[in-house]
Amino acid sequence: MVLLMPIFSWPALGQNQQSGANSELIEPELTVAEFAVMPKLCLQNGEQKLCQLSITLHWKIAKSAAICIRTDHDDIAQWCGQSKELGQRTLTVSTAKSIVFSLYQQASDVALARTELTLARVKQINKRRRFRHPWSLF
Amino acid sequence: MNTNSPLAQVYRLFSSALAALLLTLSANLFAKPSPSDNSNIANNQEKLEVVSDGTGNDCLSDDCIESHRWHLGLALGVGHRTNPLVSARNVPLYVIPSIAYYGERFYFDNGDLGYTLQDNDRFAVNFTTFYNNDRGFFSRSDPSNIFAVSADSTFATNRDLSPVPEIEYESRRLSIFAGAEALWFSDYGTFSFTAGHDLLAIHHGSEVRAQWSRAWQYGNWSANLAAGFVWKSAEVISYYYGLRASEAMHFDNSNFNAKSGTNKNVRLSLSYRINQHWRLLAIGGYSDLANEIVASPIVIENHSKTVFVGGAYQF
Repeated sequence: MVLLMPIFSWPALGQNQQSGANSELIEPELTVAEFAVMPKLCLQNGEQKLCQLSITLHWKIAKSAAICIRTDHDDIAQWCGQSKELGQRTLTVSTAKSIVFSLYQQASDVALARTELTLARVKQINKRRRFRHPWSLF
Repeated sequence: MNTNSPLAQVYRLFSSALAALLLTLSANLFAKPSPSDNSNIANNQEKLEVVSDGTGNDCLSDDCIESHRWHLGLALGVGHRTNPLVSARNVPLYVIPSIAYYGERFYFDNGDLGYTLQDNDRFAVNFTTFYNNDRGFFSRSDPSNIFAVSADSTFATNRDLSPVPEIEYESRRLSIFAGAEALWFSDYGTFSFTAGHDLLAIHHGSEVRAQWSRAWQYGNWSANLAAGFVWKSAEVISYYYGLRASEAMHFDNSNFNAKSGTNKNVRLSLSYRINQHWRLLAIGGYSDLANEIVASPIVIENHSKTVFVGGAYQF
């Protein structure tokens, strides 16, 4: 079982609202020029079980729109809000597995863009200089 | 040389393989590296694993070795080492092992034992033991001939076609030298200087080695060029190349007053890494024997050549 203990603290936003899909009100699909997470990688050494860091999500969309950002973790609540063409969010995460962030138009269930925070475990290999050629026996 | 002899075939095979390797190597020099060429991140789907060199050294794959574990390898192929002795068969090479273990300071590498006193970016100093390969001309059990096939090998030379019968040389014992070596790692390659004395009191002789070597790596290709000198004391040359009583009847002139001498060696190895375990390997070596060795009545050639082409498996 994968250990998952996300701490997901979105900055408070007055215009936050839960998505309420209404098929009659779906807007034309939004074009997303950019959606990325920085940093993309969290390195863990052999002793660390959780990766804790502050990340920034930034995006560029074609026009101001109501969007949502969801993750692939059920216990991380989605964030929704009205966004301008350029937007970004900074948050702190503490997780034991990689996290995929997906950007949605609020009224739609179709992910418009995805980005991933990847966890990488550092495997320490001790190396030293070799003094002989590997095939020097003859 | 008989152009249809197995020896000639080996030379042709090696020349072709060497040409192909050099051609591809030069092509790779001008090829645009792929973005993943320098990546040290291995994706195992669930979680990335970043392999970290604990020393922080930026070294080529053949220059560095993971410590505290055995490294075993086998090279399978075809090759031989020419034998400069009168009426003696060349040494065929089908299987070459590679065995190494490096601890914190201790190391064992293809028969050489050592203890590292100092090792930094530029210099290293080791206590070391090493053996010479002179015995390999007399005995197929010598480490330098390890895994060589039997004397009934199909690797006959042009001299095997001559009416001169093969001479049964008395076996010479393996001598191990103990001493020290200093290495200097420069931008122009590695310079090493090694000196050792007969550890087992077999001939009470000494050897001094000076060598330059340099490695290049381009993607999956790697090359290593080495050149150097091996000085052998008169005791060493006398023990290995002096005439034994049982051998004297084969020679008109049995006079040999051994003196110290210096061999000159050059070796080129090329390899192409296929995957984590397999690589293609081509090795060529040339040893110009000291005049003092060639002066021995049992030596007919002034050099010894080594060629090997095959595939190597690293466990």
